[in-house]
Amino acid sequence: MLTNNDRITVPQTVALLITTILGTGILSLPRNVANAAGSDGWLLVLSGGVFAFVSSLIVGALVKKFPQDTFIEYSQKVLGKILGYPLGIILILYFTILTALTVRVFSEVMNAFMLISTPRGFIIFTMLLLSVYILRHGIEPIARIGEILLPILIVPVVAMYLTAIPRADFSELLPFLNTPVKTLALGTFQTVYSFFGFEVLLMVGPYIRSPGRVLWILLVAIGSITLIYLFVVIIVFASIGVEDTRILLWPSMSIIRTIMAPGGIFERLDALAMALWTIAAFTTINGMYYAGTLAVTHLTKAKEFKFFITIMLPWVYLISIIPENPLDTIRWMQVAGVVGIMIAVIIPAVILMVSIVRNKGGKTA
Amino acid sequence: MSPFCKKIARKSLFIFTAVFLAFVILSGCWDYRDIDKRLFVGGVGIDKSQQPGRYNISFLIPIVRAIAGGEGGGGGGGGGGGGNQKPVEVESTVADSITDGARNLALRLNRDLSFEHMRVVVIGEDVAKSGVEPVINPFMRQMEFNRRSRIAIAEGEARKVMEIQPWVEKFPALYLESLFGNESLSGKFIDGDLGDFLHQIHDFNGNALVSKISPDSQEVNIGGGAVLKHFKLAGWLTEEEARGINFFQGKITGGNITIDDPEGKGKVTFIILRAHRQLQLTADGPAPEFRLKVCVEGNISDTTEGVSLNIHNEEVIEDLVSKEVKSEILKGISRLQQDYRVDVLKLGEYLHKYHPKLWKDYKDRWEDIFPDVMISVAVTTKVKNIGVTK
Repeated sequence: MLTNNDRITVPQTVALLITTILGTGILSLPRNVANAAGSDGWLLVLSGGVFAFVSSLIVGALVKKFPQDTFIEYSQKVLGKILGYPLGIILILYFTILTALTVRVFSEVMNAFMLISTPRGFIIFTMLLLSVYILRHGIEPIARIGEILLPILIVPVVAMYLTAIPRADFSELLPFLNTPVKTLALGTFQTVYSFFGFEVLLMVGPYIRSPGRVLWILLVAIGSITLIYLFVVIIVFASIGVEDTRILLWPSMSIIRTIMAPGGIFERLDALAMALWTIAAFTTINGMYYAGTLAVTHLTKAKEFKFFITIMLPWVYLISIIPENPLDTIRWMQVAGVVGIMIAVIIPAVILMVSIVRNKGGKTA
Repeated sequence: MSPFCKKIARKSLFIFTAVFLAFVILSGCWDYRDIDKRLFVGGVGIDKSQQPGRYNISFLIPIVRAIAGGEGGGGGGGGGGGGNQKPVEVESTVADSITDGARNLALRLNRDLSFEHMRVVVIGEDVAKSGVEPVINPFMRQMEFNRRSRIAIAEGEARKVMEIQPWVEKFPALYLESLFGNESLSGKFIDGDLGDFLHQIHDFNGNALVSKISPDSQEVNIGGGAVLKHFKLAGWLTEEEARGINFFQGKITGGNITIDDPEGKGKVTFIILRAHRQLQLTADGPAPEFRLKVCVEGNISDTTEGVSLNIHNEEVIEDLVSKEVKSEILKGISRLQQDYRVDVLKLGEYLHKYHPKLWKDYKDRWEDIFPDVMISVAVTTKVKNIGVTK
């Protein structure tokens, strides 16, 4: 059944998850939380992280319960073919659209901050070509790339934002706890989008060498993501204030312009920021794209997944150029976020419950 | 076809594709622009034009050619500059916006204006009076504008500021920028860059405290400040008032205060090293009351000949300095409260941050409440050093 005998280790899975989750969210998250809760926005990152972890446990339980199968198989085993098959198609569509939107946001940011007159289609297409190249080699190289790029991504990101601290005014984080609890609760849903990406586990579950440790994998991955997000949001708030954050489309990128590295050696950190952003987008695209292809392969019971990678390329491209402008893209992202809650939380929960009731699959997690 | 031929055909197809892709990808870049085809704008000045609703925009452009030649010939030496060519040029154009102005110049100059290295933005008095709202948006929207550049409102025309020819520095833009770096020498101006300015504008609904700049033919003076109320210029602050407000906001890092010496023989100059401030809400009610504590530390740098310092004199000097600082602060506050009636002291922000519940009651009527806010000021001074004479 498996198209590829390669398995990935636990650290590789963690790296794959972190790099997949860490993508477009980090750029718009400060704006979203500022709009949702003002200066209490950083609390939303915490609550969003907890919420994301709890809901990812459902996916984790499924991985444990069906260590040999992907979502495509167990949804059909549990719910029957008639219900399972359309769910598989929805999953494919979801991953395809998310890949397309990620690469679209990547090109939006590239166009806004660096390559002003390069055609958007060209940026999208070259990025996708690069992804296709790596994806054709299967899960193991993807996870390994994640493992290599993770420190290259995290260390400079932290270092870069640390240089903003001398000019930052941390009183911007006040007033503390001034937002009604209801607003905070609703706002949490705004942040949950930024934690999506863990649903690739629905597809890569059977490729993990020791699926029993999936809880640890999720805890470490989502925990680190929460810390990184928290750090970035606090720095952005403290550097430019909550009100400015509300109006900037990509605040985390805009504040790079206000940062001057100490000693005046590097007056501008833009180039570094763009390079890091490229890495973050690339790994996210890899994860989503691969999960989508895998879903197609399993649904059609094909033996070879490489074929589908190439087939999907034009579709991803076509979907990515649908939004007309950045505002449209952001609206699409929000819709995708709502669908994401369905895919990553509600549907797995239903499947898990039905499987427990009907006593299918292995022992309960 | 034999398998061998097939292999050859596949191989040549691969090579063809690879070469073709190389042509496409390696041939160039859309965003490639030669550095010698660009003009780097050092400063932008915005004035009102004769035509209603349009602006007269001046771009301050250093001429790289003249500078490169100058370095070889002159070699420093007091700033005479090399050659007889001017190192900078000011280009003005009548336009609807900054972008429009930059595009207009394309009709006259064969190069591309680049704002990446912009150092100063100067807004003319007329524009400021009728509202800066329409002109500041591009600085926020377009990334190429440097958020760290300085922004100031000119007394009179902004173009005059662009046209100054300082003798200390070749580039007026650098000269203007470094003037604002003198905050440790004098606290008598309002310090802040474009990012701070936009921050204030967005946080306080168009109320902001901005630097003021008054042009001369050769130099400019940046003492004092400008107060914006709802994006419009409400009025100027004098140097003393500006320093008072800097004391209030805890932004003082230097400067000097001159007072009469305790024995009545002349003047004593007190150099400020640092100042701390502490703001407290003491009472709420129809209008809140605040208590401000300022602690100034500094050195005595000169006294009149014949005055010797002793413990008693030192205390007197400390008192006099405190009194002087207090009067500056009060002058600044009363100008803002009584004359301009606009809260750029960030008292509203203070309430919002530290007393959010109270702020909810004041928020909507804050503009009317602010002039009635009671602020009691207490200043203490410490002399740290008196030099090497008694």
